[in-house]
Amino acid sequence: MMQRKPEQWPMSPIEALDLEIADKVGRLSNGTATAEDVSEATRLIRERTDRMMPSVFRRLRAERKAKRSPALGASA
Amino acid sequence: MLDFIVADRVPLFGMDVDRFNFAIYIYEEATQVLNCVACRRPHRMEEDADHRSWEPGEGHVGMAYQGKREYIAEDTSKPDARQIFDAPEPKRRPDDLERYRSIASIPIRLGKGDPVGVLVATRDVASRFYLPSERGDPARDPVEPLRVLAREVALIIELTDLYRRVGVDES
Repeated sequence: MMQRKPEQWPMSPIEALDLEIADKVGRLSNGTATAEDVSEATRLIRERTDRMMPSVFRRLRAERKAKRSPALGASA
Repeated sequence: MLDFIVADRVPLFGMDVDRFNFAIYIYEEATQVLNCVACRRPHRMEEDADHRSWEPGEGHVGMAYQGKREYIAEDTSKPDARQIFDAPEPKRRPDDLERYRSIASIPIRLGKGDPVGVLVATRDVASRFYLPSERGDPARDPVEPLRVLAREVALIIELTDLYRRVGVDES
């Protein structure tokens, strides 16, 4: 069997996303960010938030849906 | 802070009767090793016992510190995982494989800065910590609560260090 190096161990997609965000935010803080970096950082942070709090967003979506429905909205 | 995740270990990690270990290792410049500064285990006697120190790059704790990245093992008994997660001699213990079957080592750091230490969680049951697939439900990522805690610890350490450097009274 091939000897595996520690750096070859698989990385979590969430950790990879965090590193990408840290890279963009680092450029923002040291003043080297381009307009593209800014919009990309926003997109990545939104993606990270979606991963971090999916149950919260699911609940908010359900509540918004309930509000749109008068019968359910009244009982909420 | 470890008590928060230990108290909620059942809903967060599905831990019930597992033999678990949550620990914080901090790098000490003077000795150039990572020392355990806090840990939570099922028995107080195990918490008070001597803990191993790790040099950067040594064991999964040292690897997470040196590599500035997470090391997550679903099952340390698998041959490819053993290559990475077996502790080096002479620090290896006979019951390591039995006790540390599933492992998550998370660097304690903010952004892309140098880590100040490593947060470690282990269990004696395989598949408790694992890498979620891209298509999997992110709400079920068992490592996410540990990432949140590692960032909080990093933030507190950075802030207290900042207070010390500028000479502000923390009280």
